Order: sequence, then C-alpha cells, then structure tokens
Amino acid sequence: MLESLRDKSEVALSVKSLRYLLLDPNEMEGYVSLYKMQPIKRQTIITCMATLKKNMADEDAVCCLVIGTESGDMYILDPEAFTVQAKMALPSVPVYLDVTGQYDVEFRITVACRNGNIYILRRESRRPRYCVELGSQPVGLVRVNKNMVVGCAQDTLHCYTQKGKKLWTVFLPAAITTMAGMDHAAKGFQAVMVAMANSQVHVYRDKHLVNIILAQDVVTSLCFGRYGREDGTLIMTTKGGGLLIKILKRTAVFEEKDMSPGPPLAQSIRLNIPKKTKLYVDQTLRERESAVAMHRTFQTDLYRLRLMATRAYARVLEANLAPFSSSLSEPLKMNAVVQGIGPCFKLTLNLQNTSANQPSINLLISFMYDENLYSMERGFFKLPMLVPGLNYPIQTVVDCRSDKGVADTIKVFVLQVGRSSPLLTAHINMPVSEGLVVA
Amino acid sequence: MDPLFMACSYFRRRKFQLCAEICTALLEKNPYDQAAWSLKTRALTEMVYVDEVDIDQEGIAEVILDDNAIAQIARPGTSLKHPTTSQAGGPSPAVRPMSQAGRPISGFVRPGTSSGRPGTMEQAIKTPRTASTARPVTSASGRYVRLGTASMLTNPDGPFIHLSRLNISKYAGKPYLAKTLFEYIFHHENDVKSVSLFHQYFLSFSSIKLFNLAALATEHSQFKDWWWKVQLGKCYYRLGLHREAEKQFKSALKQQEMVDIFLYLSKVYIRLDQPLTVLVLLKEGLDHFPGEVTLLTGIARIHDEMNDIVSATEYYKDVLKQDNTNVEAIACIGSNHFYSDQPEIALRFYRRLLQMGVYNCQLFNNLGLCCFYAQQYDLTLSSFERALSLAVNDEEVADVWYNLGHIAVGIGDMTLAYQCFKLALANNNDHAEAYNNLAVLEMRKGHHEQAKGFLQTAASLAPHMYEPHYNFAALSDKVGDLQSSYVAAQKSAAAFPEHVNTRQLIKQLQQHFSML
Amino acid sequence: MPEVKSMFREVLPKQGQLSFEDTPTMVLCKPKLLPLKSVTLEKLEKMQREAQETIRQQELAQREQQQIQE
Repeated sequence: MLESLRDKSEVALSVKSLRYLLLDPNEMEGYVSLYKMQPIKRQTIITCMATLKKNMADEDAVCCLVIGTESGDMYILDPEAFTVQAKMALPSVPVYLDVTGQYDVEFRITVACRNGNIYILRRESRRPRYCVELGSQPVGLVRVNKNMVVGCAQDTLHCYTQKGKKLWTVFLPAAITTMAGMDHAAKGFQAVMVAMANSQVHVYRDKHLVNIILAQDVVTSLCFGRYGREDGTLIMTTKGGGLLIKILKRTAVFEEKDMSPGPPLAQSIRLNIPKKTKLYVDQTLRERESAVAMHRTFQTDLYRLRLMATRAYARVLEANLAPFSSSLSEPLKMNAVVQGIGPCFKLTLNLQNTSANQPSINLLISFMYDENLYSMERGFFKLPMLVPGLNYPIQTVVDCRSDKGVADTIKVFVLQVGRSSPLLTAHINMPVSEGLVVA
Repeated sequence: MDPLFMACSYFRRRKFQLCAEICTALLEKNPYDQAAWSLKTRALTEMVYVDEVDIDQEGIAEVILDDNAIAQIARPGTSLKHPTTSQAGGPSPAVRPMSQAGRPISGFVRPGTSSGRPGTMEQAIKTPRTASTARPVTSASGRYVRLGTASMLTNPDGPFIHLSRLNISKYAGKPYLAKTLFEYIFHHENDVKSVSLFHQYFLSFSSIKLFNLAALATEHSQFKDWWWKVQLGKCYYRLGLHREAEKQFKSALKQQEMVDIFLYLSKVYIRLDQPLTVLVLLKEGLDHFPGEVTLLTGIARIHDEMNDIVSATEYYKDVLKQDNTNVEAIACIGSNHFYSDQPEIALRFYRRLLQMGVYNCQLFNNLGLCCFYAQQYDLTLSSFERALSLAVNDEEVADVWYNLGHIAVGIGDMTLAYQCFKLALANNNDHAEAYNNLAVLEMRKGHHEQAKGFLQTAASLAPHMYEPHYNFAALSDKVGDLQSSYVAAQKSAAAFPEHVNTRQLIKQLQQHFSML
Repeated sequence: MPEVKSMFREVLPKQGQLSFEDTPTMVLCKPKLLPLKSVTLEKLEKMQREAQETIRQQELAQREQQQIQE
C-alpha cells in the first residue's frame, strides 16, 4: 500500500516511510517495532515569509507571521505565542508572497509558485480561490495598489488584478534579476523597480517606463524606503559585491514619455536627401521640351547597343572565350588565382559544376603560354569527375624563366573528350616575377 | 648650326631622343666635352622622369613587416592604417562600392593608392599584380623592375654611365655636374644586377654611390645648399631610414622654404603613419605659400585616406578655386556627388574634364553613368560606345560592360543585362561585381545552383564586399540551408555592419536556432 | 445558427503600424565610376608597356639571329 502511495506521489511520504520501503522484507518488522511509538513527522523548509497586520492597519500595529513552506503549506502564526492560527494548502511550492489586509477582518494572500502559477488565498478558505497561469517561471512579485506586477523568465512584466485578470504586459530588454516596489507616500507615488542583467534598473509606473538607472554592475537586490532622515532612498547591492545608495531629490518629478503606440521613432528622422538643385530643375525642363527627340535617340542607341552586345556575346560563345561554359549539358565555371612572388608561382584553378544534379566526366585541362617565358609542371592533364555544387581547386606550378621583368598571359582551356572546341577559356594575366631581383 | 645649340633646342622642345643622339655624336668626337655630357645626362633623365612626390608605392614587405608605425593600437582618427569606419556624412557601402581597404573607391588613382592595405601576407600576394598595376615585393625591387625597364628604353646598347667606374669625389667638387649626375642616377639606377645586402635593408650598389655622392656634395657646399640636403633626404627615404630623412628635410626647410620640401616631408610622415602631423605641416606650408595647389591637394588626400569625405571635399573645392583645371579635384568631387544622389552635378564636373581635353575610357564611362542617372538618356549610350572604343586593356572593357549591364537592369532589359555581365566576365575573369550581379539575374530566372556557384566565386574573389555574402545568405535561407546562411550573414555583417537586411536576417536565424 | 452575432470585429487602428513583412531580396553591386589616372600613373604605365614591347622586339631579334646562325 505504501508503495502504491509512493508511486502515485499524491501524498508525500515521510523520511521514515521512505526508509521503510527500502528495507529488506525481513528487516521491516524490526524497523517498525523500533519506531512505532514515535509520531511520523516530516521536516519541511520555509521558502518565504511575510507579515500580516492582526487587527489594525497602523504602521506599527501588531503583526502575524505568514510562512510558506517547501511542502506547499501556508501557515499563519500568532505573534505572541507563535501558535499556528491558520493553515492553508497549495498545489505547489510557494516562492513569492504578498499579503494585504488584516487577519481579523479580511486578508488576501497572493502567492507565486514554482509551477508558474499565481494563487490568491482569502480568509476562511483553505484552498486558493483564484489561479493565474503564467507563461514562464515567475521571477518577482510586487503589489502596486490593487494590482500585482509579476516578472517572468521570458524578460516580461505582467500586471494582474486581484481577481486574476491580465491588465498589461511590458517587454524588457534583458533578463530580470530582481524586483521591488517603490512606494513614496509623501508624493503619493507608487511604482515597480526592475533590475536587469544589463546593469540597468527600470522604474515602471503603470506600464510606463518613467526612469532608467544605470549601475556599474548587475544589481542583485533593491530596497526603497526611509533611510535615516531621508524619505526616498534606494539601496542597491551589485553582483560584484558593491553597495549603491541613491537619494531621490525632493524636486524630482517622474514623467512618462509618450509611449503610446504610434509610428516608430525612426520614422521621424528625416532622410538625408540632397536638395533639388537648380541644375536638376533645368534638366527636367530640357526633358520636357525635347522629350520625343531624346526618346528617339535613346531607342536608336539602344538598338545599336543591343546589336553590339549580341555580336560580342556571340563571338565569345563561338570561341568559348568565357570562363563559364555555354553548353547546356555541361554547365561549368572556372576562375583562376595566382599566388607567389616569382620566379615560381602557384596557379589555382577553381572549377565548379553548376548543374543541379549532373556530374561532369571526361574533362581535360590544357594550357597555352609562351614557352620562352614560362615553364609549367604539367601542360595537359585530366580532371576528376566533378560533383555538382562543389568547388574543385586544382593547383599547378608555373616557373618564370626570364629575369627581365616581363609578364605575359596564360590561357587555360577546359576540353571535353569528343568535342573539337574548348568548353571554356580563362585568361590569366601573370604578375611580374620579382624573385630573382629580390634574391 | 652648332650641334650643341641644336641639341639644346631639341631639349627645349622635349625631343629627348634626338638630343641624346646629337650629344652621343659630340662625345664620340671629344669624350671630355663637359657641356655635351651634362646635356646628354639631362636628356636621358627627362625621358624617364616621374614626379617623385606622387609616387608612394609601398612594397608588400614594407606593409607587412612595417615597424615604423609608432602606436600599435592607434586612437581612432590618428592613423592611416585604421581609418575611422564611421563615415559621418559620406555615402555608406550600401550605395558606394568599397575598395579592399574598406574605404570607398575614390575618383582618382595615383601610383600606390589603388591597392589599399592588405591584412595578411596571403591577401597581399593575391592582389592583382599585373605589370601595370603591380604592388611590388619591396619598394626597392619595385623600383628596379620599373626603372630597370627604363634603362632598356633609353640605352638599349648598354649603360651610358658605368657606376662602378665612377669617381664620386671628382664629381662632388663640381656642383653643376654633380647635380645632373645625381638626378641621372636617382631616376635610372640601371645597375640592376649588382645587389648587396646591407643589414636588413635591400641596398643596391648604385644606391650606395648615390648616397656617397650626395653626402660628399653636401659637405662640399658646407651644409649651406638646401638642394643637397633635400637629395640626401630623398636617399634616406628610399633606404627606409625615415627619421634621418625627416631631419634632413627639416634642416633644408630651415634654410629655404620650398614647396617641394614640404611635400617630401609629408611623404615621410605618411610612411611613419602620422596623418595629423602631415596636416599640421601642410597647413604651415600654406602659411608660407598661401593657395598653393599641391599643398591643398596633399591635405585633401590625407582627409580622404582617413575617410573624412566632407573635409576632403572642402579642400578639393579650395584647390579648384585656385586652379580650376585640376583633374584630381574635379574627379574626386564629381564621384562624391554621384554617390550622394546628385548625378547632375557630377555630370557637370565630368563635362568640365571633357572640355579640358581629357579623352579616355574612364571619363566617357563616368559621363555615361552620370547621364543615365541624371535622366539625359540621349547622351548615355553614345558615351559608353566611345568608352568601349577607347579602352586600353581588358579590365577597362570589362568595367564598361559591367556598367552597361547596370543600365540594362535600369531599363528592365534582362537579356541585355545578362549578356553585358557575361561579356564583362569574358574580358576580366576576376570581376567580382559582375559575378554577383549575374547571380542575382540567375536567381530571378530560378537557376539556384548557378547563382550559388557565381556567388561563391564572387565571395572568394572579393571578401571585402558585403553583397555576395548577403546574397548567398538570403539564397541559402530560402532553400533552407540555415547553417551556411548564418555563416555568410556573419561575413556580410563584418563587411558592412549597418546593413539592415543583414541584421534582420541574423536576428531571424538566431531566433530559429534558439527555439526548440 | 441564425442568431449568432458575429464575434469578430475588425480592429483598424488609426495610428501606427498595422503589419510588417519583409522578404529578403537580393542586392546588386553598385555601378562603378572608374577612377581617373594621374599623369604620373599614366606615364609609368606607358613606360612599362613600351619597355615590354622593346624587350619582346629584342628577344625576337635575338631568336632570329640565332636561327640564322644555325
């Protein structure tokens, strides 16, 4: 039975029961007889605490202690005798607590739990009344007037009413490290302060950002309140172990920038378009006056250009002078790179098969160059099969024989077995060989 | 007519070859004719004379193994090697193409400015090093290669002056001969083969001779002649001894203020990576020579290198107030206006260059682009045709076809655009921008594999451009390859952090990866 | 069910963004203004070109001489 309880894990078993389940069957009886007189207890850990006024709403009236535990229970303790006055159960472990009201009259406890939900407990109810499901883990909970502001792990800030209705969401630029409430009673100003991982602290009043504080380091905790004689002080501790104390000026006014949804700021920056010059206007006049003539001239020129281009292009195709092949069956592309300072150069031919799925086979490379000037390692060789899409760098060595500082071009042909004209040609303008001079 | 007079007249008319021939004939008759010798030296020098102030070619070794910079981690805005990335007031990489160094491509290029500063040795070796746009291994070797060929031009039958047989002290005593000799050796250095290692610097035999000559001559003039101090400073600069060069130039400056000295001294400070000192120096120069165009240009160039386009434009405008035919200033201001959405103003500037008589491929290309974007469509295509016909090498042809492709995209003719970009690639196999744009066109047609291949090539050819990386990320994201999309998006963000689409893509991918 | 009142009322805010959708489009590289070359650079390039030509001529001449000699 115990095992089935353990497996179902609805009710948490105490350590003794768990131990019992682990024992061998013959040791179990001895174990039970040893511990049967002691009541079964479960140790639990406190996760969060808060204070609740007992019956008066003054600043320094008597308070009760509200405790949330790892076992998912909330306890309210009497301040004088520390007896448990009320106990409430939650479905999950509470992480952040917020308490309003008085114990004797009416109170409301808002709890953010580890399962990403917020539960609201009221007086006279042992189980939570309302539940709010958040999209991600809660990272902070602050109550502002009647609403609660929750920070989530998605770098967002949500605001909910007491009944659990979502009012607004704000997206933050960085992850939240901590949140605190800012309640300046003298000015009647209530806001939420959010410290973020980019070393900034944002202050929000009702979804509007009213202030940004830049700290030197990531702020890990915030506290706003009265410090000595100053009413409005903000104390921050940073991740690196620093302490920052800031005092709010008496004349400080928090104004919200108009963040109403509108055209983005970038739209109001004027584009740097140069002004229309007088020359431009004159030219437009000319266009208007001689529009027909201009058009005619342009069209005749265009026809001539098209003819010239097509003729040149046809010549290139016929002689296969281009570094890309014109045949549809063997789409290839080649480009050559020369490296070295001479007299020895490395020539790299980058060949690529640009078809979709057809490999190229039976290809050969041949070079044409001035034999008195250059000597090549191999003037003619076969190519491996070219897989489409891959770049094949093929390297040869060229030696410059002359020392007079002359350079020439080398022509590279890609040939295919069975064709009389090359598939493609590349011209390489060789650089001047300076090696002999430098040596 | 007296042959020497004839030779002088040829010299004045800049017919140096003829002048040299006459002088050679004269010297054959009388080898001790000092006048003929001096004239021939000067003629040969003028044939290969290039303005030293303009040249700032740093070799690869000097850039990588540079220990001249004072601060390893310079404060922002004080170093040329780390220009401030925030271009307040200038167009962003979303609008203006960037060079490898991370600065916007300027409107004007001088020897040494085009390649930027490579980060690693591998990058340095990879930068295109054809014979014409070479970044040499060291500035010494670069000079050899360049001027070794110079000697080929002037003396195909052998060197005129044999350095090894030169008696330096004899010439040091004769100031008028010494100066011409010095200039000849400085600009020729045809003794390429005999090289000797001296501590960690690459010196040449001729450099030592040069140095000796200058040192002896300075002594001879009792340190009162500023010209020799400047030449000594130039020798030090070539050898890489920048602090000594600075000393020489400063003392020359104290003796006699000349614009040249200011410019040479500013070159030294640029090598030492002290741009703010250069600015102070050049402004001081302006106090002595108010309105001097070269000093103003120098200041504008420094501002340009430090990415401060607004100040650079101001100074270029000052230059134009003084000399309104200065090509560099017009070109830079024009390109700034083009990329700040005022193509009609840019058009006006480039038209001015045309009026001045500049007639080359780049100008017509720029005119064509400005006309198109300023909606003067009738002039656009004829300019481009002219540009194509004037192109000198394949890279220029490729660039013109690339810009024509842009025009085609602008009018919506995708076939023409496709052809133009392919033609750009056929002429220059390494044109990364053409690869990228071709990939975009292939995407529109639906050829994902082709597009992917092109983008990979573009990204590997030009890792400083953000467009291929971003496009590859968008493409991979579309087909669902989130891993490569994320890697490519990070590369794009590294190249251009303010790109909104890249940031959005990265955010989206990060959310995707963190969700379960 | 004849008497069901429509539970959905459309919400049309008078201010602000209604919806935001962004499809990643591809980016084209920008049109390239070609930088003009300075006089020095042009002279250097011209010199280099001429030198290459001269060397090539010389080598051709040498080779022809060798061939003639053989």
